[in-house]
Amino acid sequence: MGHAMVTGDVMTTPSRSTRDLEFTSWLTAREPALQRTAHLLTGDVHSAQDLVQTTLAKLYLKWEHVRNAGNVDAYARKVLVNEYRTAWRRPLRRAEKVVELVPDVPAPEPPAYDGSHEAVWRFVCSLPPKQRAVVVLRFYEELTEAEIADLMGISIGTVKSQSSRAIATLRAQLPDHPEISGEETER
Amino acid sequence: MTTEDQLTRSLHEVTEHTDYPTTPLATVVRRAGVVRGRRRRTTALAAAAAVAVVVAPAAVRLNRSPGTSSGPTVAPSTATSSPTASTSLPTSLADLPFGRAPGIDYLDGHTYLDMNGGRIQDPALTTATSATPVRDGLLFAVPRADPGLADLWVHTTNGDQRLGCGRDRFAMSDDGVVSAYWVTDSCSPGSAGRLYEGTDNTMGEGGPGFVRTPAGVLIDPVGLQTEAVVVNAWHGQDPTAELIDIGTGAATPLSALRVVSGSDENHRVVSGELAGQPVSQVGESAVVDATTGSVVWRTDWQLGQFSTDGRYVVGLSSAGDTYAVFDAVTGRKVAELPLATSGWITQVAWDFNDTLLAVVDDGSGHTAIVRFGLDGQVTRATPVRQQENASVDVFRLATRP
Repeated sequence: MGHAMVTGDVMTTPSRSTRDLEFTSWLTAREPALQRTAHLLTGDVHSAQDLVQTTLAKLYLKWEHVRNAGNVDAYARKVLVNEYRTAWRRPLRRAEKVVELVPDVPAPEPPAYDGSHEAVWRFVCSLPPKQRAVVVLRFYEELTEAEIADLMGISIGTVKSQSSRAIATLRAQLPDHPEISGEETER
Repeated sequence: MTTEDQLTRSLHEVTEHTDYPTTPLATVVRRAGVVRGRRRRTTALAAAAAVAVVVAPAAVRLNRSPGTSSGPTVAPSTATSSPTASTSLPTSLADLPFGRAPGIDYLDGHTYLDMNGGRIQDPALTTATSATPVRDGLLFAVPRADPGLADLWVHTTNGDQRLGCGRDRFAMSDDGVVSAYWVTDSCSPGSAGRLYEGTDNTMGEGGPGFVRTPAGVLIDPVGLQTEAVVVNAWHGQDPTAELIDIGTGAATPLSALRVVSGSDENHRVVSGELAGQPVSQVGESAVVDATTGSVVWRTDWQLGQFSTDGRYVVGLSSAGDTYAVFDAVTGRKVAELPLATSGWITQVAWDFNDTLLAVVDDGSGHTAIVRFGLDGQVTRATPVRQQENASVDVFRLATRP
């Protein structure tokens, strides 16, 4: 049975099958984008999958409400980012690293991309959660500062400072990569 | 290429070189069940705040004949028009149709019943005013003779362990994972204290962290917002509504409100009594944006907690005789609880997103937990008990998961 909806004074309950069809349709189209963003936030695919599943579950519970409001993608992104930040806030999660097997050898290195990309990826993974979320939303999702501020519940000034701090640190920490150390190349 | 462009390009490179799994609908539904279960349990915690601010001043008197009970005397119901057809409660609670058990934990005498059917029995729970499960057992509060303070205990399989003095108000995050409570350094009046926040655990590794709170201030946690605990800080008789950053301990006043009574973490709003009103009067309440501090809407009803999905907020009429449910976004009144009965309500908490639970005394010393649906349906969720202890209700809607 679906969630009861109050429309005016009338209670209506959409059928489960209708809701599931709609949700599945959205899921097929939009889950890859959520997985990608979650990967960039968490730093590994397994944690990202866990984060996405929780996000999808919360979206599923509020599907009619969110769908009727016409902002499913924005809502899903908001839940994803808030879940990420909340999970970081929890002490148990903070210390937790999701692995399939308990390793008896050092953990494998993250996938290597070409030199500069790998260096940037390592840098992003080293950022504190709030700054990392700002970086991912600003430079991957390409949201505006105002959109990020609204999504994360922080001021635009905080978005700006977190973002500029990240860029400054990136330049400072990676002097061996001139293409990312602030030197402009001709377009 | 600028540093910013390079960052964008690198992030895209990472995702383009990674294969991602897909999530079957069955997995989503299963996970949703887990989330929903946590929420049901969490919702009662909302009740504690609502009870603290909305109910405590006076139990609701529902057309009760004078002299039939030792309960508080309040004006009779003024049965106002409601979008939802009001259903009269029968004179006897036993005549109510018996429905499903509460979807949230509750106390019945000395027994703690969780929503999954689990039971904890402890004679000390008989006088507990609030309780919440924690990883190591059950955290509960028993009021002390000193006004304003309670003894906080943890019940475990090894017995009861006293944590110290504190307040009998707990708060919980919307997903039921992060809890907050306040403990004083000593039981002396005016002692400084510690506000704890963390996973539902009271001790040991992974337990909550805490921030210091100054001497002379009592802290009532009400809810959680991102990285902060929503509290009422009592400076003597004067409360201030605040957000306390659990990382730094910094307190940010919610200056629009004098007392905060509800918190919705997902939508970043809080409810409470507006500031700048005479303390001696029941004034206007409002829903306030927790990020900006701006008033979203206001009403002359006393607002309490939000439903788990944040869609509704419960309110008590300024006369203290009628509960209603409001759309949390617009402030439109959605439903009123049926009130045409004798007796009173001593506690209200959200059950599911469209049902409320209330501890009802029928005016003759009989009490039960009653479920009110926004569609006007009323059922009884527990057996009817005889109210034997004048100071503590037989039924108490347990605060949180």
